[in-house]
Amino acid sequence: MKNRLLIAPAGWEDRYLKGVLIDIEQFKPTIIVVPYSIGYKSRTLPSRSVVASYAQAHGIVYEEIEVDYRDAVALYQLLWMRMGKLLVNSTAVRFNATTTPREAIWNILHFLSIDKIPTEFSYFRPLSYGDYLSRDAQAPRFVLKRSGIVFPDRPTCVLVLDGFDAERRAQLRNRYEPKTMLVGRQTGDQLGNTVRNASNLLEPVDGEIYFDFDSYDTSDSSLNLLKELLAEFAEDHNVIAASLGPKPSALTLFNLNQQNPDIGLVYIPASDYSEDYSSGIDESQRYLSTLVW
Amino acid sequence: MDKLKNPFEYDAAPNLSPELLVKWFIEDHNFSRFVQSTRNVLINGERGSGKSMALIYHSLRYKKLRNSLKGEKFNDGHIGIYVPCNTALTHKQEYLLLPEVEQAITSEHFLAYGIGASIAKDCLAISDDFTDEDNKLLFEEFSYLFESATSEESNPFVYLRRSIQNKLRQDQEKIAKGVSVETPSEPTSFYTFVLPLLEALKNTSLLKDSHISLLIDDAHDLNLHQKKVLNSWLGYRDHSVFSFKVAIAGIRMYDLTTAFGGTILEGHDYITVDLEQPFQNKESGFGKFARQVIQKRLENVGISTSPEEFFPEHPAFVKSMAECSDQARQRALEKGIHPSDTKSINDYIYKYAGAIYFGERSPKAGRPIYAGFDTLVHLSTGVIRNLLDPCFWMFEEYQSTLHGGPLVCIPPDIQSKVVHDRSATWWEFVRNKLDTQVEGCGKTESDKLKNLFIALAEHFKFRLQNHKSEPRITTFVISQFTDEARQELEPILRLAQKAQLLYVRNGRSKDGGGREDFFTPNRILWPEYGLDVHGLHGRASLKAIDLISAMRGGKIPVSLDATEKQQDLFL
Repeated sequence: MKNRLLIAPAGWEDRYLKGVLIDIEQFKPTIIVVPYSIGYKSRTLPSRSVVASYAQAHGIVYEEIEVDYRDAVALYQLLWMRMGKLLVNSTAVRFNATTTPREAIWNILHFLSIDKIPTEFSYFRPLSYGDYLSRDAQAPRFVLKRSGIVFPDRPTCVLVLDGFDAERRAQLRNRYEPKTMLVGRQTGDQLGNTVRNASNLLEPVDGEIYFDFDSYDTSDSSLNLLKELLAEFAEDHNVIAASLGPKPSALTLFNLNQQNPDIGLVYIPASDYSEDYSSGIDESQRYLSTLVW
Repeated sequence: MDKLKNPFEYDAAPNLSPELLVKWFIEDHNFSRFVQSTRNVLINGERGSGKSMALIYHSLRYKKLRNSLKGEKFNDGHIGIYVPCNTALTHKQEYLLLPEVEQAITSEHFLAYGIGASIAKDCLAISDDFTDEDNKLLFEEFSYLFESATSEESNPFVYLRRSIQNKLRQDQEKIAKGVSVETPSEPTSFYTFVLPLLEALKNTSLLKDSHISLLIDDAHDLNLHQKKVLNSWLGYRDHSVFSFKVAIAGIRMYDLTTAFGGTILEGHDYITVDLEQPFQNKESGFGKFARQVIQKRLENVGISTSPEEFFPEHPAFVKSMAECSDQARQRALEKGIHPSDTKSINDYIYKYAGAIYFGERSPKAGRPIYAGFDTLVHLSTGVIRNLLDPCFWMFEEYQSTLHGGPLVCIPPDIQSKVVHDRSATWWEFVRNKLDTQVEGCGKTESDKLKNLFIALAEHFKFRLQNHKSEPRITTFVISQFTDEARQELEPILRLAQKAQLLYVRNGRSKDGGGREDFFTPNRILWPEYGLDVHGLHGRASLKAIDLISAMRGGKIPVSLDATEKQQDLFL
């Protein structure tokens, strides 16, 4: 039997629960899979319970997967072990990535890409963000299966689509000591961007190039902009890319890697996410994109 | 007048242009002797201590460049192959999806190719020096390794580089496909790939008498399997063809076990060179080295003044210190030291003049002045990058105020302002940014670190103002360091080192019973607390239990009398 699968890794923010209910209403899944973090089990319990009850009431199969987002290998293996067959048996997938860590987004998109399963990428903006978003920085790490084609005798070029946490970019610089850093500065004044986005607060230093970028725009024009910027470095640098801003930019970078596998993806984990990460859901800024494999 | 390029710029050595690196590098003959020896050498140094720069400078490419800049013929006696480990290839982690044995095979394969790529890159610089016969031989050897009979390349090292790139591309494309990972179809190792390359080089007429040093930089970035296999290679006793020079940040935490379960031994398999210098006065090795670094940087932008002239002391500070010295002399006499005993009087002044200036300042006197080259050297805590950082910002600050005038020196007021600013920035990092910037540092750890460093600052401040014997000490040893205390304290101290808040050096124990660790907080922290960054050449003995209590928000107890038996703690 072929399924309509909704993948909705659990969150505790308002926009998660409201967004998932919108997705269920619109997409009409036959199965809902909800990976949740072992570290935030109790924090995500209320929203998981609501989704589970809704699913039961509407005859939708509901499955949870307890994962540890801190362990990249265990996460990758467990997601595949539990979701592999479901994916292969699905005619359509909607992936609500609203509150999903980027590494898990890229893992799941990788699995979906293998059999080119028709997929929609769903994301909801909040009405506002909290004072701090995350703490407890872990070492940046290359994303399994999406780490690019790299060579030991080339310098590194880091592409960063910037966000609110200025320290994240500093971490990339400290870890990989890139020769060049291309920093995509989020455009627009939504959600306090002009006063909170790291690259709006800092001046580029030597070896940094700033450019304007809209992380909410995952169209070909965004992709082409990145390709044009990277053209100069692609031949003689190892290019690695990180998304630190709004989640849709993770999709843009995945598409960039999909079209140019030489470009690697890198993820900066944090193990302490704010309980007040965001509030509300901005339904006027609904984001839904059909993936083209 | 055009703005001068800031001579104190600092970047990771591999990112500097070759010409700039050669210009800036200060040759240390002692260090060069180790790099050019035929023994295996482990080089220990903090981040920013100049490990990479030293290794790159001694690599074949840079040797060739130095020769050509000086118009000298290429000297082939000892050649270095620079092998960086902080590369994107090293950071890939798909090998972790394999079973343990295959992880080790795959890891060694990529490390061997990394070394091969470095050999190709460095030897390309001297490819014109090889004879046609040499090139023919190299082609034969290289093509045998790649099982390829023909090549359109005329240069064997271009052929080697491209062949490695092709293989690496194939391997990585295979790894990126599907869900699972397979080992490379033709895995290589040191013995099947690197050693034949080195032997091929040694069979050429150009390098037949050369010793080849593999200059492995940032070995701490290798994965666990690669570290173990590198250690196994270090156990290879025949150094007639090659040896390893391995740079590591934090050798005390580095795993020295081999892939076969053994351990490599100092003196037997390798010797250690420590780039971390214990103290930083003008006469110390580091003090002299720091002076040369600044002098050379100034000369390269056409400034001919000495570092002391370029970073002058503040006249008000000099005057105040003279007054404090007089006060200290007077107190020495009041203590009963005989006026003819000039040594004792001078020792007293050395101990107490700084304490009077920094510790007995009137609240109305404003912030202490931190200026002068000697002060900058002490602020660096023995790390070149820490020396260049305030110099860089002072130069920027002063350039912005010059409006076309000549740049003769950095005025002391600007120096002091920048030192205070940098100190405040570091404290902002300690108070609010550790958990977002330091890998592995969570909220709990960052709170402990913050508490610990505030307690240390307050302890040293109190000591400066009250301690009767050695008020200016800012280095400590840990006493009563039980196994239980180590378990709690060491992870936090390691994080402090990682954050470059703390430097750990090994020195002679005060009781003469072997050696012990000295802990020196980064001295850029002290201006915010008005401490004397010169410190004293001694160390306070702090109990492990008190440091643990400090991490939890307590204070470090202070001892006001001279019964700590610290008079004989000078190195």
